[in-house]
Amino acid sequence: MSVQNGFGVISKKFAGEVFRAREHRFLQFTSALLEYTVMNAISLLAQLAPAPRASWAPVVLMILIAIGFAAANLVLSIIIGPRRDGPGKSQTYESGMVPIGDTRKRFNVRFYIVAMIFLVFDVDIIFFYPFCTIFPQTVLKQHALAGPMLVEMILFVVLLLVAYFYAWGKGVFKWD
Amino acid sequence: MIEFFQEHPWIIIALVAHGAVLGTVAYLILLERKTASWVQDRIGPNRVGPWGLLQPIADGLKFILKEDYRPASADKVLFSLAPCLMIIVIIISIAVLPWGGEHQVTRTIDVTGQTDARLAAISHVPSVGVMVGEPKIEQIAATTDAGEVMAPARTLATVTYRYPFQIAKLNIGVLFILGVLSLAIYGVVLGGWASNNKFSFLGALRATAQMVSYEIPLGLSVLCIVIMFGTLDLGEIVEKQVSYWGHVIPAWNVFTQPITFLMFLICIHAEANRAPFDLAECEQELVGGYHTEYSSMRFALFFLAEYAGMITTSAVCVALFFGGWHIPWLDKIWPALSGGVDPTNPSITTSLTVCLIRTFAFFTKTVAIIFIFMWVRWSLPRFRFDQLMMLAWRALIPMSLAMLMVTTLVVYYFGTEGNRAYMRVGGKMAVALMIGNVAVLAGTMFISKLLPAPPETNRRVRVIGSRFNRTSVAAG
Amino acid sequence: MPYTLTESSQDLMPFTSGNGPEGDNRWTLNFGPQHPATHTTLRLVLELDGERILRCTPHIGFLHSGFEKLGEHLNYNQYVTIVDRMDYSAPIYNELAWHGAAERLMGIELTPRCKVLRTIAGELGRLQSHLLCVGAAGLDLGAFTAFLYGFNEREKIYDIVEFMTGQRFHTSWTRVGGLNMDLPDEAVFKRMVHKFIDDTLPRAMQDVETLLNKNRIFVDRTKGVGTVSREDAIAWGLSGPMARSAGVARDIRKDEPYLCFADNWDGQGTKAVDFKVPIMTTGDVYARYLVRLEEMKQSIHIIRQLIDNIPGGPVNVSPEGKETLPPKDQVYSSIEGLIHHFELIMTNRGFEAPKGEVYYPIESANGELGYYVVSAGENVPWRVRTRPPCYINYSIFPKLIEGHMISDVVAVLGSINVIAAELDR
Repeated sequence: MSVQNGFGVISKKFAGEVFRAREHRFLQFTSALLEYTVMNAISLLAQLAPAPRASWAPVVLMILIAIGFAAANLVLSIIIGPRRDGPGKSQTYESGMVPIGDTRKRFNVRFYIVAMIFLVFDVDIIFFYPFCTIFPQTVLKQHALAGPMLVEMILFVVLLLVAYFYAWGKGVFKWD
Repeated sequence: MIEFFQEHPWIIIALVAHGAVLGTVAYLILLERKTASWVQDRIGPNRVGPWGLLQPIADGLKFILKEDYRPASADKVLFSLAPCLMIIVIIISIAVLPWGGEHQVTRTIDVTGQTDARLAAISHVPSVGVMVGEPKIEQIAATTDAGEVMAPARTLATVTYRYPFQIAKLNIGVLFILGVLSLAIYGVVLGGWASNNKFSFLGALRATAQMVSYEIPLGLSVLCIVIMFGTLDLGEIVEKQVSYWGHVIPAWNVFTQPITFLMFLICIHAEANRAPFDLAECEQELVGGYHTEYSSMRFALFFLAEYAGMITTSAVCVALFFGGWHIPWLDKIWPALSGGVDPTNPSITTSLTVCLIRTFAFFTKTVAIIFIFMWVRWSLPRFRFDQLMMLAWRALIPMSLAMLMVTTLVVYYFGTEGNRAYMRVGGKMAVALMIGNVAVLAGTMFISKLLPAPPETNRRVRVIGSRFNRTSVAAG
Repeated sequence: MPYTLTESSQDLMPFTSGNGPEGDNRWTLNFGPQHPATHTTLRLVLELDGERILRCTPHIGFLHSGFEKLGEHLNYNQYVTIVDRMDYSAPIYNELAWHGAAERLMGIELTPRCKVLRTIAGELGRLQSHLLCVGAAGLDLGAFTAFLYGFNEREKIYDIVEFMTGQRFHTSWTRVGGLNMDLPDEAVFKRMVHKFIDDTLPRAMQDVETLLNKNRIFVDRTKGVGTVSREDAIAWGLSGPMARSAGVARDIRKDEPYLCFADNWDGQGTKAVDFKVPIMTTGDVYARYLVRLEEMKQSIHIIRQLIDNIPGGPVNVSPEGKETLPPKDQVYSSIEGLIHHFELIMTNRGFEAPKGEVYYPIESANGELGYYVVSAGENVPWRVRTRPPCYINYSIFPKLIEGHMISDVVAVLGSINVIAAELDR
């Protein structure tokens, strides 16, 4: 009784050990790769640390200006504008007719499917941002990680495309 | 007071930019009406002031004087909140537009009597600026008229610093704009939902689906540019484009990434809810869409937000594709326009005038892009909803993904060549990108032939329980 | 107050809206009467599933003015001011149809000059209506510019019509046996018409065609939308561009020729004016648009044949028959003329039509426009009934729109060219 594997014919008795040895070798390899990747990434990040000058104070100022502008405009028109009310006027507009039924009820699901697909894609695209900022500098420095980064990203895009074509096949992009 | 604003230049820039953008919005509406009249062989507004120049003021006054009405069934809080949210979001988004590069200032400050002269000098550097070199500190013996030396001597510190000529220089500029602009959807959705009007609600739903769908190709086409320069800072992206290929062609991204530019243009049309993507507010179908029930200033805020959004997105388009403040060829005659301080970074200038000229150039380009918006609006019919979604999901998203991949490959293979040390796009890389564009275009055409034909969306779907199934005389 | 559909009026709605698991996500939406895309006051009650239309119930009557009833109280000349108001996109058509019916009732054969002028006016009216409809095809899809290009040329037509009739819009130009007035100046009229059909209109049509005909968005929005089959077109009694775009070769100008469309129209053996009837078989909105464009070209062709050959002679038939007004110089210089004028103008006098009933159709811009007149031998008709093309064409609308999307409502509605004033009368 023997099993066939890449190492040739060995008896089944030793098969388990060989498998264990292969597993061990695999673990060794992955840990080495991981170590290599992490160390390289840290060194890369250290080189890429941006100058800490991004200042958010102006953004806060802009928010204040914007809120002030919106509020001032609303208040102004409420104060200045006329105010005449009536039962017909306060009705919801529906082409001059009494509205039939309520607006806020269950609605066709297609709109919501788009939202879900968007979530999937947008979260995926978020991963592109760090890649896109770091990748050209990695290439420029002829860093060892440039090649793996490219391969990884292509893999990522392929996975994304799988999801895309799955959604296509499922008829998400069909509108009837 | 002057001292304070010298140390906080962004306050002035913020106030001026805010005023300028909103003032421009008012005149954009006039420009829109004038454009429409040119396209349509009409005269356009010409009653209020010469060439209708006071029309925006009249419009604004009218908006304020109108009754701010809210229908009884509307949600009280959200109905008012929606337009505010919309305009707030849009105003925030102008914060990171790179108007005029970086301004380098050398100031001499009297730091007499300070215990640590260096620290005192540094404290005068604007909060958003960076210091160049160390402050030079010198003791000056002040003399009286008679020539006697007075004690104590004055201590003067000469400090050189740069501050960005924009409101906020964030190293995530593009991401910030995309993120903030995507919040604008909330204004539309809340407005449509709070109105409790079917037209509004339908408009809001359409707007949501449309804006989220076009955000993906928008983000991807921005990434195509980002990956060429490795920065998300709009100012830096502009600065990288300030050079020439073969001393003649400005190194603008529009020449290397024409497909991306077109996709970006389409996406910002959709994001701004402009024709032919104005499904959310199309008059002929949904009356006013999400702002059907709005009047007076609340409506005006929606209206302003639409136009201000156009300014922001067009400005981003200029920064990404048209070299931002770069004035091509003029800087060959007047080199100060493209720096002169630091050869590696042409955005730095010591002259405030240059900053203002650049701002003007940037703005002119932005208005030119906005003119395209108007031109398109008055020429094209609008899409139907399914066609719109089809364009985003079946055409723009795969194409932009392909463009991103092509750009990534080009960056990988040509990313060390030429002036790449300063992250500029060299001639070889530009040619490679052009070839990549052509390849993507050809590939798209080829693949679209292979793909199964899109479903016939114009057909009538069969309605169960229709009155006309039985009465039909013969099968048509 | 018009009848208002509420949730309790189940008789009009087979689906129970909002009740039960089936209709729970179904919306009922009032599309009109006060809606920008219904051009005038129409009301469509749409039942929607998302964007998809499951059922459409048109309601009419918002512009009902009792035009037909008024016809029983106004004499044959006075009623022309009322029929003007029906299809206001091309008012002159209604006059031609109405007085055509009156003349058929009385057995009057018009003078050749009158026939030519009426034919030219009619074709100008067709251009007027088609310019509106072709432009509105763009407008409804959001291309405002095409609409204004069309409207600009309508303005030129109004100028010609004003010169010809003295009135821009509601011309009240025809009279029994002739016209209200002859051309004030034939040379000027010819120059105006020539300038219009040779220069301004072709250029405007070229503009509209370049804007829309091959525009991908426009074609995608219109091709295959609101398709009418040939069988349906016949079964529903459609006429005009609606029927012709569906492959029905029907044009009253060819089938029951009138005015200059008939052979030997001037009594001297002149052949009928030459033109072709454009037919398409697809029957969708795009086909209707193209048919209208081609009809405009044929109208230009018709006008071009007639405008240089306006025969001389009187424009009214001889006043011997007492139906037409005498010329003004006779009124002022002879007692017979004065009495004749007086007899016709006094409200309780006027001429009396023979007893009988007639139906007289003409090919208006939207289809077969006919008047059915019953006369009891009085100076007013006993009953007047209009066969309005819009009303008949509009009746198929719910069938066309079912299963389409909300955005297609405007496209299909615009392509039918519903004129609510004619619809409700």
